[in-house]
Amino acid sequence: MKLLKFFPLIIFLIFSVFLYNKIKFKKELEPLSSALVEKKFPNLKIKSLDSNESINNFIDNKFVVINIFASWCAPCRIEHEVLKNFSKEYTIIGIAYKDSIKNIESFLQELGNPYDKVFYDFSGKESINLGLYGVPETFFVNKDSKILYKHVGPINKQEFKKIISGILH
Amino acid sequence: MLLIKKILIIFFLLFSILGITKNIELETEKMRMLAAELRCVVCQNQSLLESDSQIAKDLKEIILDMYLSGKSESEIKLFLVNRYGEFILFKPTFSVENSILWLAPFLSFLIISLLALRKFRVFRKEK
Repeated sequence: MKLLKFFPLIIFLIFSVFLYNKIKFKKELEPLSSALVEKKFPNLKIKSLDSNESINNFIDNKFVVINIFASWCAPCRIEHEVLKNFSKEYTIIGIAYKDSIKNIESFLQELGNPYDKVFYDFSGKESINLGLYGVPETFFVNKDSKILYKHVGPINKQEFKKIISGILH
Repeated sequence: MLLIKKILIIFFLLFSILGITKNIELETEKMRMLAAELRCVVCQNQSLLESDSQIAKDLKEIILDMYLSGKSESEIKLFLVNRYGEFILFKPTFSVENSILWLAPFLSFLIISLLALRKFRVFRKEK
């Protein structure tokens, strides 16, 4: 019964220690998680211009990096150099988001083409199936078409290497 | 006779158009109500309804299309949760992971009631 007197104080102390730890050991900002990580790549009704092959058929049985980009997106220009660096090592697929064929073609002509194939999501609604927040976004998909990682925003060299080593090892 | 036929056809078309418009209005209202319960995925503490971001506009269009194609509210919510996680819901669903969140008010009430009851008994004894 005597201990009961101190109950509010004990609760207060536990709560204070908990909050102190939260402030003191503040975690680094975590990347936006995706509900699709560890799930199968969804069926998308988008096609490339050179063939009628769907993106799902194209990525089947391959480890692929899928990059959603647009010619009107400034961070995509910075990221483009990074993708070009890794284009020889990995199969990189582009999904052009809310863009025209003409603009994408001149974008790739100007900056080079790191993509094995470009698929077009003209309306932008198919990308919603990938839980898109905005361009650019990059997905790492394994041979079984399972999404291993999703990177939101422009990716840099170090991040790309870190993700690859994290998911492959 | 031909004139009556023509008038009937005009009336039929008119009512059909009115019906479709009314249906779109109803579904738009349902979409607005649902969008108010959903979080904008790119803005801080704004509902999907309030948000003017491009992605919010697209999501609202998708919700309206789904309502017009006969999907229910729970089907639409599931569609969005599967893509954006429970983060998109202002009111989280009841699940094992969320159980503490949902049960905390009841537990607090129970603990406080027990403490108050004890205190009351002690107080009565002393009296």
